Amino acid sequence: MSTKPLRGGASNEAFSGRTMFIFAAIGSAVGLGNIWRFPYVAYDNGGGAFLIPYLVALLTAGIPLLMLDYAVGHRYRGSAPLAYRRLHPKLEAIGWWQLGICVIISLYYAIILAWAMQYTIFSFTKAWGDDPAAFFMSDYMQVSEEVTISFNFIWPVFIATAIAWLALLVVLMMGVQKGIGRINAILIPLLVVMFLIMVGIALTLPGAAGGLDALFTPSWEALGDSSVWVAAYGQIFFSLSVGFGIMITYAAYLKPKSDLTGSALVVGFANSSFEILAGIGVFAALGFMAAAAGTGVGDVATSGIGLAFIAFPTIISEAPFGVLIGVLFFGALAFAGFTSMISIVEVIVAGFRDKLGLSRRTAVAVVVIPLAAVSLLFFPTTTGLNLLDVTDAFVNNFGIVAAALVSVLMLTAGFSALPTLRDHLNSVSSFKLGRTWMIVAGAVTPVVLGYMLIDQLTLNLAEGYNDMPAWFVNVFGWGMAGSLVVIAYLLSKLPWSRRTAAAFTSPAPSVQDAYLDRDLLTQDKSFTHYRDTAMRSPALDQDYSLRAIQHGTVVHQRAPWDEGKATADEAPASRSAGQPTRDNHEGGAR
Amino acid sequence: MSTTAIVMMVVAIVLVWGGLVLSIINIRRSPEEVDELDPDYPEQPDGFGNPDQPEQGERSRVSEPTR
Repeated sequence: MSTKPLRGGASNEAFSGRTMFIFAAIGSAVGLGNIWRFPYVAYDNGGGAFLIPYLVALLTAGIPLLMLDYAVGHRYRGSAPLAYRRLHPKLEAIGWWQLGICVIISLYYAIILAWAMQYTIFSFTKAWGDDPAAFFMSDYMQVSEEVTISFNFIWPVFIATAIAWLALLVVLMMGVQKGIGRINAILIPLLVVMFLIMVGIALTLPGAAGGLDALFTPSWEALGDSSVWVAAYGQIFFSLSVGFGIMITYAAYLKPKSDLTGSALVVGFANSSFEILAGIGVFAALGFMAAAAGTGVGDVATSGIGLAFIAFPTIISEAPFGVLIGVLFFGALAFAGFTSMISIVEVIVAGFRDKLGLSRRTAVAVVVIPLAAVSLLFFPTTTGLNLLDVTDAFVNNFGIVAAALVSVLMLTAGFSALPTLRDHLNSVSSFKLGRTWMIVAGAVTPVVLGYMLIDQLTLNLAEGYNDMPAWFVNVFGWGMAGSLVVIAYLLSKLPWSRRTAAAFTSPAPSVQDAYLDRDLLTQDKSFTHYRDTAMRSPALDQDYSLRAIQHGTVVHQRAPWDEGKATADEAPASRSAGQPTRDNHEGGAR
Repeated sequence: MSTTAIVMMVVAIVLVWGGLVLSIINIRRSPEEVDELDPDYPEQPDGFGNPDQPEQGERSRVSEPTR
């Protein structure tokens, strides 16, 4: 009686609609980088003039890559490894590489969440006293002199990190729509409101204008500096969460007829809008701090941990309404981080769920509990801060960038999937893409990513990393980044669960436009643009595509050749779905 | 604040927030379509379904045509 299309793994679940998806995607994109990275990057790279490379990067790399990720996830409908596998079996390893990157990020991201949560509470009593820097490094994190690995736990941080993991476990257990969708639909508007109030207060502080002056005064000569352009592309790239599986995973949860490019534009601009807002808030506050200390804004401007956990406590201690600023700032940081963390861990959950054929709850337990254990073992310790520093730098520069570069090259030069993906995007979307998208996604982004990779590679090889001991950088930096590739390759060689492999024949409809694809079918053309159909995943077989058309999925008009087949819910569909399972399983396991 | 800084701040806000407003207008112009098959979305457990799928009932509820 199984006339319904079979679907494997992650694509069993869906967001209720594109609004939920957009909230979730914004939640993923808006993270710590928007709040503590963008303001300083903009200030440091030309101030107001930075706007030009920033917008160019958004339009030529950020949004096009976002659309590329959406297309892969939505057309091939699965977690990163499954989606890439369905695109081409040889590409599965890229999906695992991206998943591995998410593993590393999630390990240290949890502890930053823990800090933000604890500092929200510290804001009430201004627990950092007169010297926030000393408080953070010595009293709170008790950072050890020696750069190594130790298991001297800092129990308050340990407990806060455990709470962050527990909250994550609960949200992910609740599923895509009820958990991920709903928490984002609540937290994102809340985050924006909190930040708006925070910015409103910051703007009234004495000296705020000086801070904004520093941020927005353009130095036009910066535009001639290639490092400024790289910084702009880097900021856009890291802040949009593109290229490491998140947007693939979320797009797989979209219903078949969803406006992908329209959503990408909203998400891309929403992310940048929040960055501008954060820039105004942070620099207004820094302007106050500089005025209070009688120094220039340049002397207090900083980013990352230094900004959030050292500069902001100073501001909170001195400013009127300091407690309110503190609660809003750290609360916003925690919310922004939490929604991003959800998306990062969901990539891992979806991947294992697909590969092993697990139910959602089992997959969440199998993924989150070991991750939490490793995270709690290595990071809330006296040596955790240095470990965080090195893993963060290397997983970003040699993980995300390298994986994105390889995946873009494979999708363009390797397997020329871009025309297929463009057709897919156009068949469901309001904003149509043409050759320009293929050129920017396929040609501009690899050049920029390649430049960023080589730049960081030469820098780190020549100078080492941050004066840290070589063995530490070799193991947790280079070793970690390299082993991600090796592990990804090995995982791609393991067989898929029977359940998912069976569903290779039939993911959610990958053919979105019956009219468009019918032409391909009648001319016996392949849906993909690579010739070697023998290597093609069974998921892309025409048999399946025909079935999607037969079902009339996603098209409202009845196809002319389908007249008279009112109940197209049966016939060849079910037969071909059930029968070749074993073959396809073998094919899948290869 | 200097004039150039104010101008750049206004330009940044107009371009980026304006882009957000335009992209929201764009997506609102194309109303969300409900798929024909949508009510059928929750697959019944068949040979390959998830027998231990705990959210069976929930999925049927969630995927009622919502709009």
